[in-house]
Formats: sequence, C-alpha cells, structure tokens
Amino acid sequence: MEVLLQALIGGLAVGAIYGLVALGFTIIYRSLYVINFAQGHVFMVGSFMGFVGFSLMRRFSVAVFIFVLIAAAMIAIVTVFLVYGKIHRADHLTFAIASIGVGIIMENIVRMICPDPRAYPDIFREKVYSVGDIFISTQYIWVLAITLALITMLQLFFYKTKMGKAMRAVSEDRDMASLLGINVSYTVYIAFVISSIVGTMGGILIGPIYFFSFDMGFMTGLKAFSAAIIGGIMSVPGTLIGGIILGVTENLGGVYVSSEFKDAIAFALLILMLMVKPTGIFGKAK
Amino acid sequence: MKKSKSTANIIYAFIGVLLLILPFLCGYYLLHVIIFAGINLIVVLGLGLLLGFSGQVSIGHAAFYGIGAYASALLTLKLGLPFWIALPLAGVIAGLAGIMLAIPSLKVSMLYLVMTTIGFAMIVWIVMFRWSGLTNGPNGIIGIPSPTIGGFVLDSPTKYYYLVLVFSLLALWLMTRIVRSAIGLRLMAIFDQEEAAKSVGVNTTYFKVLAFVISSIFAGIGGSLYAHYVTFIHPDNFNIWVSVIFLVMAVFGGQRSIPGITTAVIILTLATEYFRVLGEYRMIGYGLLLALGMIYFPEGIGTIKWSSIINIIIRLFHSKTQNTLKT
Repeated sequence: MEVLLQALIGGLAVGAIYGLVALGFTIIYRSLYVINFAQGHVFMVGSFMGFVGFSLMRRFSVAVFIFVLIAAAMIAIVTVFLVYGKIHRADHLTFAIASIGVGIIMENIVRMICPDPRAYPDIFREKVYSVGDIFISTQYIWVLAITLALITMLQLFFYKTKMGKAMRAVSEDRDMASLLGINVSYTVYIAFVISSIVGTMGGILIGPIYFFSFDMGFMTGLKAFSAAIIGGIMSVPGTLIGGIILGVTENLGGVYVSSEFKDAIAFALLILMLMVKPTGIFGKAK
Repeated sequence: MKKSKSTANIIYAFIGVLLLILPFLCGYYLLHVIIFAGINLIVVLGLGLLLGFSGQVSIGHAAFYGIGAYASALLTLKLGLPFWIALPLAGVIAGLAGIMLAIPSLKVSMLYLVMTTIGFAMIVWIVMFRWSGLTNGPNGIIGIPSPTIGGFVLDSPTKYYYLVLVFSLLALWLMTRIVRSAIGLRLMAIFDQEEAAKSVGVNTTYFKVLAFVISSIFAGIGGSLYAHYVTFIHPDNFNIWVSVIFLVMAVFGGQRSIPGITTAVIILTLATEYFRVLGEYRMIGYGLLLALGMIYFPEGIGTIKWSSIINIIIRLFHSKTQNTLKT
C-alpha cells in the first residue's frame, strides 16, 4: 500500500511535468496544425538555463525564473523568425522535419557548453514530509502548484483575453481569421512563445527531481507528445490529465511490472490509445 | 532523339563501369561510406514507397532495420544458419513485424500514424536494450560472421562492396518495377483520392498493408546486410535517430522519385560521414541541413528535373560536336 501511494505521488509530479511539456505541443497543434518536434529540446534548454541561473544565484530567486522565461521567449522568437515562420503553412511533414533539425541544433549547442549530466543546486530547500510511511517531498508540491497555476492562466488566456480568442479563431480557420483583421503571423509568434515558456517551466521544475543532461530532450518530448495524444491534443486540461495518467502508469508499471521496461510502458499506452480512441480521452472526433 | 538516347546510354554505361571499378579508385574510408550508402538506399527505397506512393509516414523504420539486423545475426550465430538463408529470413521476419504495425496503423492517419510508428520504434529499441537473454542487451552482439560464396569469404570492404552493389541495384530494379506495376498505380490512386479509389474497387486496406510490408522487408534486408558488414550490432545502431535519418533521406529525395531518393541517400550519407571532421559541430551542421532544406526544398530534390539536367549535358556534348563539325 505504501509502495503504491509512493509511486502514485512520484508519478503525479513527473506526470504534471510531462503535461507541461505536452502543453507546448497542444498550443502549437491547436493554432497551426503542425507538430513541433523541438518541444522536448526547448524543455531541455529551459532546464539548462535554469541550472545556470540557480547555480549562479546559489539560492531560490524569482528573478531567475523571470530571466529564464524571458530568455525562453527570446529563443522562441528567434526560431520563429529564422525557421518556423517561413514554413508554418507547409505540410506537416515538412514542418516536423524542420523542427527536428532545430531540435538537433539546440541539443548540440547545449552539449558543447555542458556535456555532462549535472545536479541542480538545492533551490526549493527540499524538505520531506512524512504522512505515516509515505514521504512527500516539497519539490512535488511545488511542481503541482506551479503546474496548476500555469494551466489556469492558460485557460484564462485562451477564453478571456482578446489575444487568446484571436488565437482560437486562427486555429478554427486561418484564412477567415486573417480576413477579419487578425494578424496571423503575430499569433504564430505568440503560440511559439507560450509553448516555449511552458516547456521551459517544465524543464526548470524537473531539474531538482532528476539531473539535467543535454540528451534528456528527445525522450521527454516523445513521452510528452504521447501524453498529449492520450489526453486529447486539442484540449488543454486533457493534455495535463494525459500527462498525469502517463506519469502515474509509468511509475506504477516501473514498480509492479518491470523497471527495465518502464520507458516502453509510455509507448505501449500510446499505441493502445491510438487503436482505441485516436483523438484522446478528452478529444472530440473532428 | 535517337542520338540523345545513345548519349544517355553512354552515360549509363559510364556510370556502370564507374560502379564496377569504384573500389580501386577510392580509399578505404570512402568505400566504407559508399557501402553504407548502398545499405541505406535499400531501406530508404522501401520507405519511399510507403511515403511517396501510399502517403503513410513512418518514423519507425529503424525498428524494421534493427529487427532485420538482429534476426540475421541471431540466426547465423545461434542456429548456425548460413548468411544466404538468414538474409531472406530477416526480410520475412521484418515483414511480419511490418504486418503487426500496419494493422493498428490502418485506423489512424497522418499525425497519429507518425506517433504510432514512433511508439513502435521506441518499444522495439527498448526491447533490444533490455531483453538481454535474446539480444545480449546493451553489450550488443559481436562476431557476426561475414557472408561466404562457396569458400570465398566476403570479409573486406572491397569484397562486400560488390555484394551491396548487387543488392542495391536489385532493390532499385525491384522498386522501379513495383512502382510501375498495378500495385504502384493502385497505391498512387489511394494516396491521391482514397474514396475514389475505393469506389472503383481498389481494396485500400490490402494495398496499404502491402506497402507497409514491402517497405519493412526492404528495411529488414538492409538491416541484415548491415549486421554482416559491421559484424557488431548494438541497440543504438537502430534508435529513433536512425529512423529520423531514413525519413529525412526519403523526404529530401522527393515524393515518387527514385532517382531523387538515390541522390539524396548518397548526398546525405556522405554528408553525415564527412561532417565528422567538424567534430562537435557535426550534428549542428546536420540540423541546419534539415531546417534549411525544408525551407528551400520542401518538395525534396526529386522535383529538380533530372531529365532536364541530363538534357543539358547532352546538349553540351552535341553543341561541342556540332562546333567541331563547323570548324
């Protein structure tokens, strides 16, 4: 029983991070109908920038968060300006390959700067609360709180602000939105900036739980993408829930089935979901 | 017209002779790279059939390539079968895996299909890594025997080059035949207008699975050739990046263009190997190639009219002969 609860709690935290990274996929897919395969690498770059920031400050500081998020937004703007902005109208395969290229570039730039896995400094002043025989780390609480806050902000942004409504209009019908005076290329920038910010947040939050390493991007990206599909790639809360389902299943499978095949569980779940309901748990048939 | 045809024949003859004497012209390393290009060509031709003719995108071909390689290696090492039996069996096993992937894939299309193939490739890779009892896990398999013909062992790149040359020419010939056959026409019909194809009685399910199976057999054969050439295989030789590289080659080659695919495979294999000189910057170069290539050649290099280039060459020759006649 303790093992089960412990695995659930760990899975919840990791799942929330998958959910955050997956939101990046969801936002891009919702507005442009393309997959950004570099999303996992954005997560990795975010984790790296967080590592650098917190190592320099040596303590928890909101300023580091703000600086890293601004840097993430800048990176998004540069990549849209150089690559994505030119091909977001192309077919999804062209875009997917170009984004894989961008991901490779990001991964190898970070690899040149920092080739070894590094542990984060203890920024969240880790404390472990014990409830009976179950241990809850403060980091897990941080992860869940920040994720929930971000999701709420995103939902508010998409449904309450003019910009968010404009983006939803673009995803419905790009040409019509353009005719009605919405600046489509501007919404492309916004979509990538938001997806970069949520990915980076995921990267900073996973830092204290795991190690930072330059090659963590692609695998996390694929799992996050699986999470998005399991939950339903068109739905923001669905994506988060997909992430949590994936994180929890993976952790439980690691404990009860086989720790060696832990990574395969995510993909088996994905294929199962695609066979049963490709639009995801919260997806509507289109 | 007749004259230009004979000039084209001369060009083909020249290429043929060049291919035959290639091992004596280039150094050891270049030959090594060319052998890889030949093996990649076999895999990418199969992927090109799937991508260009049936419109199914797979980022999982390294799985079939790996299944072929492991099957062939294990069959020769554990059961002591000769290469010439292990190679077709590797193709058959990869083909069966192709059926396994094709059937769930029928329900999904586009983005979801891409995801299914990625999931499949990841699972196969993880199984290779973790199922130590069968695949020897992260230690890989060493000492895979070189193929023999009679008592003649193909253990050097020069000898193996001819084996790969035969197989890649065979693959080119087969693919050209398949594409021009009723199968190819039906696949194109399904890709262009699935509903219309259905309405004139094309069994779309059957042909989509068939394309998947043909393509995975090609990948399996490629994998077997790879395993017996390098004699050492490791799960990382078949990870998702390998799938990505295959897909990139197929996309750069352009849809439905066999000469385009051939050119793309050769250029990209050479680029991947020769970027090694750049050390750490190598992968950045590759990333730039992908991103910029997609911006400037979104349709692949197959759309560049090769016939027009050959025509230009032919015209150059002709104008030269005409000039010499005038003077």
